[in-house]
Formats: sequence, C-alpha cells, structure tokens
Amino acid sequence: MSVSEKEVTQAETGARTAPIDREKLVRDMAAIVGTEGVLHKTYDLKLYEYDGSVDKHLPEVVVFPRTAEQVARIVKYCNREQLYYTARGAGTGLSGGSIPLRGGILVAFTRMNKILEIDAENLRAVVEPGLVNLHLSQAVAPYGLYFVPDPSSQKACTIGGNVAENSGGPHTLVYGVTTNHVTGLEVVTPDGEIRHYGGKATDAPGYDMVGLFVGSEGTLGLVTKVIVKLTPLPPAVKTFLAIFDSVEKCSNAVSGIIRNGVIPAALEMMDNLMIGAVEASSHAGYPLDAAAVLLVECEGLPDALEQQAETIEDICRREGATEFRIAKDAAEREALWKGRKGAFGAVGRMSPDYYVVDGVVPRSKLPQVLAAVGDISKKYNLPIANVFHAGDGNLHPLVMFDGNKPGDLQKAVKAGEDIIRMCAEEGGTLSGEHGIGVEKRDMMCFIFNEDDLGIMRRVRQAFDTKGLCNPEKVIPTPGRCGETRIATARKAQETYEREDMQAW
Amino acid sequence: MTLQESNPQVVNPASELEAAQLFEEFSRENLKVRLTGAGTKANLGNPLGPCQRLVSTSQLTALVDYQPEDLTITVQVGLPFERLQAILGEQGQMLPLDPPELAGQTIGGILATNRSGPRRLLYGTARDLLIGCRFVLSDGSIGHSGGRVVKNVAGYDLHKLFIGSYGTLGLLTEVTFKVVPQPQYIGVGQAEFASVEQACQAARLCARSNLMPSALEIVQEDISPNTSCKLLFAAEGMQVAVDGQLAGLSEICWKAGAASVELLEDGPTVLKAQSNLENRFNTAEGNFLQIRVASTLTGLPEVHALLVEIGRVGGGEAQVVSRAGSGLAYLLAKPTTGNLEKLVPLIKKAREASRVDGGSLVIERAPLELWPQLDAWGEFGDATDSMRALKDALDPRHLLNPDLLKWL
Repeated sequence: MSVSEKEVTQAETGARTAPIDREKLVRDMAAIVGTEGVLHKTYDLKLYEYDGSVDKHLPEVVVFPRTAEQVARIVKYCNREQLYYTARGAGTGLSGGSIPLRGGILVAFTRMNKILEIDAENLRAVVEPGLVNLHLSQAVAPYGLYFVPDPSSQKACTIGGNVAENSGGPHTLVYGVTTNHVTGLEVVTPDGEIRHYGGKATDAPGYDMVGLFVGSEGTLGLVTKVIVKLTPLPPAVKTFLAIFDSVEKCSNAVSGIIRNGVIPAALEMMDNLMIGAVEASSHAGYPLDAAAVLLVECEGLPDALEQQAETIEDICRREGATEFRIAKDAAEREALWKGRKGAFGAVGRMSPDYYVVDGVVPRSKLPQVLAAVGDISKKYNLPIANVFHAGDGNLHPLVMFDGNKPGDLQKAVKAGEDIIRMCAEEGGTLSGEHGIGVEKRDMMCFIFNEDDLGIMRRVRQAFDTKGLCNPEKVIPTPGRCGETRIATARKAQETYEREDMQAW
Repeated sequence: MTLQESNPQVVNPASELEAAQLFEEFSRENLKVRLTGAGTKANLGNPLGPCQRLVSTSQLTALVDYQPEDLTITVQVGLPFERLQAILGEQGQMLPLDPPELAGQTIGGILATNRSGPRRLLYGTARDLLIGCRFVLSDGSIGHSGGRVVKNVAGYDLHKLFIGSYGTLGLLTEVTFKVVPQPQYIGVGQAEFASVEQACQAARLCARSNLMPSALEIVQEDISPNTSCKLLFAAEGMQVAVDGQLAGLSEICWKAGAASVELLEDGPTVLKAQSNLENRFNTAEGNFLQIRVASTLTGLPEVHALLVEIGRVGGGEAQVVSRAGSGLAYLLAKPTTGNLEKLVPLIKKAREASRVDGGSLVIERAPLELWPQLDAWGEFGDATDSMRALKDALDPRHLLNPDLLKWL
C-alpha cells in the first residue's frame, strides 16, 4: 500500500495521524486493567501478531481486561485517542480476523474465561468470551448437556471467537452452527457502551441483533458475555467408515444420503492423500489403499440408530462402497475422530507448508467440484489433500507447497483462489466457517457486488462510526475487490513452522 | 380492517428492479410506504401510521430455484406459503415452519412477522431456516446477503435482520431456505396435569431429556381457577424412533405426576390444530386480544398464570397456551368491552414480570381502544439505540411501515 493511499483511508476512518506515545499508552492501559494486564515489549507482542492464517501485524499493546466495564473503558479510550482496536480469543482463526492489521490495541479475552452460570433447567449457560469451547461442553456434561458447535480447534478456540466467526464443526450438520446456539450477547459497542441483546429467552421483539453480531468477525463491537443454548447429549451414537475406490463414488454417496433425507449427525469425507497423512500421524485405522472414505456418525435411540445406519450403508453400497467398518467401542470411535480432527496437523508433517482453503458448494455439485480441485492440483503441480464436512458441502482442500521453493507459495495462493472462485461459480460461497477476515476480503466481489458491499458498509458504519473497530476486515475498500493478495500471503511459510494449528 | 390509515396508492411491482425504481421515486418525494403481502397479518402489532403508497408483493410470486437434492429452495416473497409447501411436498420435502394457517398468506409476511408454531421446538424458527435473501431498501438500493448453500459465513447475516422487522428495514424480494425431508411419522401424546406448574415441570423434563420432542404444548382451555390442564408432546421421524420417544416422554409425564397419559390418533392433525389456535377466534373482530410472552422455561408458570389472570378479568372467552419447550405463552381472548380498562394495568404488570432474562411481552392483536395506552412491543432496554442505528442506516428517512415499531 502506498503512503498516500494509507493516509486517505486513515482520514476516512478517523484514526489518529499523530504518532502514538507508547509509554503513555501503556500507562493508561495499566490504569484500566492493571500493569499485569498489559503487554508491550516487542518480544511479547510478537506472540500476538498472528493467528492461524497467513497474515500478521504487531499491535502497539496487548491488554487483558477482566470485566465488561474495563472493555468499555478501553474502547472509550480508543475513541478519545483515535486508536484502532481488535479483539482476540485464542488466535486459532484461519482468516486473520484477530490480527491488528493497523496496529493499535489488541484486546485479548484470555482472562475473561469464566462460566458465569450453568442453567441446566433452561438449557442455557452464561459464559465469558474467553472461555475455551471444549471447557464448556466438559463442564455441562455432568448435566447430560453439551454445546453443539465443535470446531476441531475446540481444545483451544474460545466461545467469543466462535461467536465472531460463526464457527461450525463436524457435528453441526443437523443442529446448526454457532448462530443457532446463541440466544443472548453482552456487547461493548464501538462507542464504548455496554449493551444487551437477546437473553436466555428467545423471540425478543425488534431487530435480531444477536443474529447480526454472530459472524460479524469482531467488526461491530466486542462481545463480553455470551448466553448459549445447551443441547441434551444423544442417547446413543454409532460411528462408521464407508470405504470407496473412487472419489466420485464417495461424493455420489454423500449426495445420495442427503437426498434420501437420513441426515446423520456428522458426514465427513477424506481422500487418499489425506487418509495417508492422517493414518501416518494418528494410526486410527483408516484404510491406506482407499481412494476416499466417509466418516459417518449417527445419533439417537438405539433402535432408530440401527435403522438409520442400515439405510446409510445401503446407499453407500449402492454407490459402490467396497467396505463398511463400524467403530466397535468408544476407543475406536475416539481414534477415528482424533484422526479426523488432527487432519491439518497431519498434513503439516507431510509437507513443508500447506494452505487451508475453506469453500462451500451445493452438495449435489460435490462430484464435479472435487474433480475440478484435482484439475487445479495438476494445473499448479501442487498436491491437494481433501478433508471436509461433506454433508454441508463445505470443502477444506489443503494445498501443499514448499515455501522455500521460489514461486511455490504464489502458486499455492493462486490455486486456493481458483478453488474459491470455482465454488462461487458453482453457486456456493467463499467460506463455510473460517471467515472472511483479511484472507478473503478482496474475494468478496466473487459473490457480492458493489451495491451489496455498500449496504454492508452502511451497517458497519452504523455501529463503528469512527472506523476503529477491527479495521481492514471482511468488507473490501471500494475498487480494491478482486486483487490477489500475494504480498501478505508471502508469510504463509511461517505458519507451519510456528505451531500445529489444528483448527478447521 | 381495524387500522386507521390514509388511502395509499397501491403499486404492484412485477420485478425487484421495478420495486427498486419505485422506492427510489418514493424516497425522492419523501413518501411514506406501507409494505404488504396478502394482508393477512395487517392487524398485528401497533396500528400503522398514515402512508401515501402501498407496495404489494402480489406479483413477486416466482419459484426461482429449487434443488431437491441440495434441500434448498429460492422463491420470491409474494409466493403464498401453501404454494411453497405444495411445491416441496411433491418431492417429499417441507419448510419446517408451522405458523397459523391463513389463506393466501405469503412467505414475506411470515418472515416479516416471524411467525412460528409448535414444531419450532425441533426445527427452530425462520432465523434457523433462512439462509439468504435479496432485498430493496427504501432509497431504491438493491442488496443481498447469504446465499444458496447451507453453510456460509461470508458477509453480515443481514437476512436475519429482516425476520420480525415488520417491513421496517426494507422489502425482501427473494429468499432462500434450507428445507428438510417430511418426517415418515408424527406421533402425539397427551398428559393431564392438576396444575400448570406441574405440567411445566414435566415439559422441562421432556425438553431436557435426550428424547428430542418436536413439540411440547400446555393447553388450558378452561381458565377458571383450579382447573387441570393438558400437556401435548410430539415426536417425529422414523416410526421406530418415534415409538421409542413417545414411550420415554410418557414415562416422564407419569413420573412428573400426570393424572393420565395417552397416545393420540392422528398426530399431524393435533399439531396442526395447535398451530391454528388463533384461527378459532375471529382475529379481525374488534375485541380480540392476543398476547405473546417469551420467557425462560422456569419462568413460564408465572407468566402463564399472569396471562390467565388477564383472560379472567377480561371476562369473555379466553384460552392460554404455553409452548412449553420454547418458553412461549399465548393468551387468546375476547374481553368484554366494559372490562378493557381494567386490563391495561394487568398487561403492564405482566410485561414488567416478563422482562427478566431477555423475556418480553408482545401485544400481537388488541382492541383499538387499548392501543393509545399500550405499545405492542414494550421497551427494549439498552438495545434500543443499536436498533435505531440500524434503522437509520437502512431506512434513514423512516419511510417504511411508519409507527409499526414505535420506539424507533
């Protein structure tokens, strides 16, 4: 970005042009959250400049509020001092949603991680946004309940992050994603006010503010409390693998299952390349010689479960499944899921670098779309492994490359963009669950025209009147849509080295 | 027609583009615009303010795209709801919304007023089923959000904002739903309880069980003191599953102290009757009062009792129904005219009591005399300014359906 371009945008957003006095900033933040709640040394800030995506940017400071009141004071301070601010949970996001792209204050919710109330009788829990997703389901399990969205980063990712990204997971096929499991929010709006949307009860009159906020990727305010729906654990579960000697047969089976209407609780697909990677790291018993497998999980009363499993087996066999393996016990089931949820990390062990793509297509288009992904792999001469939520039509091709090879990264990014463009052209969308963030911001025009984006900007500005809240995310600057963002993606090679991000 | 309104000039745009051009023109001339579908829900909520134009979706009735193998359907909003269900029914599918049946009512009207029915317990409401939309704003700009795939996080979920917005943000033109296969079997059981508290307790146990009831309805047909009430419980899906679910739910009811439990014949008809409770009354008649309270499951017995009190004091025919798995209670009543004044403080009291944990009391329909003293929605606490900011962003001159949402 040229200097003049940057100035123009800053003037538009109302951010400061005067230099920031770091020492004063740190003092002022410490006055709000205490000295132990502020990080400002470059060494520390470096740990907060990235998430699970390819972009990075250093904040001026990282602050760790403990209460909504502190968050409100931070936001008011940002308004007064014309500073950008960005919220962050565990940093497992895959589209750059929590990267402070313009610097400023990074508000980390790690210390707001309490379960405030488990209201089992009303099937609700009230939690702070920094609570780890899995910790919620573990805490409510003794009541026979769980929180449905289960992204595979669930051991690390936070409920606040789930709200921001409208996260999914393999078990959201029947019960829906985060937006279907949040009934209330406490929010600090960009003018620094604490607001309450929805509650434990549903059907509040007026506009569905909760529906707007969930999935808005931290661009409309900072969530400080979440009221979630809890769901009774299923009486019984049956997990099995259907094994295929061609990807096409496997994707036809997916279409067949959906068309038939016996929709299982989870329906995940992996191709041969992915099976190899997963088996090498998990030893869960996935068949190495299969072209593709479907991992299917049914839930319900035991009798019904048998019947549903039989119907699905029939469909799979009709579409050419060569084998059907049922997990005998909880240990086998767990091994299969561990393999599936560790899929991204497994690819990290196989290839120096990989680029995770998240796209969605109508489920009936899966066979042709997967064939096209194969063509894209050949075109760029890069292996692409496939592992995804087949039941939702939500693809996760992993483009493997070697960042040390000149030109490889650029090819990987181009391949990813080709895949997303194809998803859009096939009537699908840019992202099923990883978000737009900065990664796909300039691809928004694949599915939205300037008028659509203009209306989204109006909504954003209705809340973020000064343009300080999570800048540069989701909605592209007019005229910049469609540019390939090779420059920022150049850092992708560092992603894998950093750690094994197992979010999907 | 119970509404007092000016005599607006009616326009029936035949396309989204035409609607946009009309809106642009109206906006230039600063004309207030009323939006309507079939007009079956025109008496819901606050009386509308005067309008100069009436935009009807009567010509926006196309089936745009239906992919049975993807379980998605896209239609224009003027399409009658029954027609949509018939199209889906030919493929053994359905949109799992079961609002009160009203002849000719449109998809757009159901979304704008966020209607739902007893089976929402299993399938959710419009916000869980609508996956994308196209719309026209009052200044004539056209936009869309979401798409035609079941999972999508690209951009803001603007389509959710239109649900229950009573046409105050813009005109929906085209909507996409995820649909489901029709269940093979629907079964319904009924348990008698000595008190509403006991029935609510049983319903809570059913809702918390892993038996996935599709509806839990507490019906109090006779609201005189110390009368019993019944809990209807439903399950749907494969018959073998439903049989097991109903057996489990029956057992819960027995344990919760039911005086009797029986399985009913013809579950679908029983559930349809529950959807259509308000249709037993002539809702267009001047003295009809319909109140909906949203509450937590544990708060339901109290609000149910408060609604019973309003019904009793009203003096006429009255019925209270609680959608006990979803935390909703409805009063349907025909208070006698002489008693109307006495109802105002009672309704205000019930509204106050309902305002905990995000609960609310909405006056859906009321005798005209009551409107000057009562607002349909009540207050929204601290969320009001956010909603007003949204309204200002999307309909800056407040041209659409004026006064329907008074607090704006």
